[in-house]
This record gives sequence, C-alpha cells and structure tokens, in this order.
Amino acid sequence: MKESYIRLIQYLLAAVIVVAIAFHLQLFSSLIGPGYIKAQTWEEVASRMDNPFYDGVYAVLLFTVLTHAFIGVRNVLFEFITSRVGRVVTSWTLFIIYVIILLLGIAEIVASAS
Amino acid sequence: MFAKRERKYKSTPNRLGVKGWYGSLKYNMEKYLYLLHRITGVGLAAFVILHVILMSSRMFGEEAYHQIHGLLMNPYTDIGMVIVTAALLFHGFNGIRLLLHEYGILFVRPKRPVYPYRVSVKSSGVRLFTILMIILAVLFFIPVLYEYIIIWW
Repeated sequence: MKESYIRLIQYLLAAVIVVAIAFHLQLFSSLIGPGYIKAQTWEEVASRMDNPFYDGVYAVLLFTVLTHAFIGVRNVLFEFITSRVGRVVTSWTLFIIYVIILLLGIAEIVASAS
Repeated sequence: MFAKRERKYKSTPNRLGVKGWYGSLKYNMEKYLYLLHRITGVGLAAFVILHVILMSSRMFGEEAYHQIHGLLMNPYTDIGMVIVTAALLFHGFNGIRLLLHEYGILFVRPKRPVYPYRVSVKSSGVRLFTILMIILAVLFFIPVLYEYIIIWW
C-alpha cells in the first residue's frame, strides 16, 4: 500500500477517534456521566456490556484506536529503521501484534454482548 | 554537477532517527509540539495495548474483573491515569491542529521551504490557533483534575 494512502487512513481514523473517545471518556466525568469511581463498578460495567450502543462504541474505538496506534508506532520506528528488510520485518511484526490485540478485543466485546 | 549532488544526497539517508527529534535548541514552538506529539503517541499506544489486555478480564465474569480491578486500585494507577489523560488531551488537540493545518482548512496550506525560509506558522493566525488549541486542552484537563481531586479527598 502506498504510504500516502496509509497517511490518509491515519488522518481519517484520527477524526473518528475524536468523536468515539468523547463517548468513552464522558463516563468517567461525574459532571456529565457516572464518574470515575462509579463507572468502574461491576454493576455499571455489566450494564454497559448489555447495552448495544456501548458495544458499538467499543467496537469502533477498538478498531480505530488500535489501527491509528500501530500506524503511528510504525511511522516512528521507520524514522530510525532505514533498511528495506528492517522496515518489512517491523511492519509484519507490528501487524501480527496488532491482529492479536484486535482479536482479544473483539473476543471481549462478543463475549460481553452475548 | 547536479547529478553528482543527487547521488550524494541519495547515498546519505537520514540516520538521525529519534535523536533527530531533539536536534536543536533553536526549534520553534511547533517543532516542540511535534516532538511531544510523537512521545505522547508512543506512550498512548503502549497504554491502549495494556488497557485492552486488562479490560479483557470482563469476559471472564465479575470475579476476574474484581481481581484485575483490585490490582489497579492504588494511587500510582491514579497518577498514571492523570498523565495518560493529559497525554490524550494534548495528542487529540494537537492532532486536530495538525489535520486542519495540513489540509489548509482555516489557514493556508504549508509550503515547501524556499530560501529565505520564512516560517509560515507565524502568519495567518496559525500561531494564534496553536495557542488556542493548547488552551482548549488545558481547559478540558480541568474536569479531569476535578475528578481525581474528588477521589483523593
């Protein structure tokens, strides 16, 4: 994939994250949500797990944040890995870690929704 | 002559890497914001991985969740979360600034540096917008601090 497309994906994901993360973080403010302590109680966590809206928000957050993070880390690593082989190895290593974390997150969302 | 220069340029790729980020004390504010954007980005990426792994305890039920949650209920985690939230706010607002600037929304698009290398960020209210974004990040941080002060008191 061309680097310019990867950069465009990175920017589009960033725009989505700004909106999605606002829904996630409002839970931890007692001014507009349940607050930091209450939001972490099992009752609140379980009620969010039963709420399809939050399942959707978490699914969007999981995909966008992880993809944005791994593209970002790849960009940073590429600044001091200049050899072609090194870059290919870095990309694939990051991709494998990305897939493992993504699958773990998906399993969590699916398990909590069912 | 130009071909020779071109060959010389190609044979010396940028090998400064991360050290290049700190290259000069003569950096302007935007360059330091760029540096901080990178550092917070790497830190947040590490946090996200840890967060997904720890929060996956939810799928094993209430007991597993309480076990993990109990481990995290200490002042060090709270301090860590304050730092993570500050990093997140900075990264977010600086990211919005970078996006708007890169696509020339609200301001002129950045230009290729040409002699005498006038800094474009000092014109068209770009610097003012940068300061505004920093102020917004600080303002959003106030409710976060308020939340942690409630816990600590």
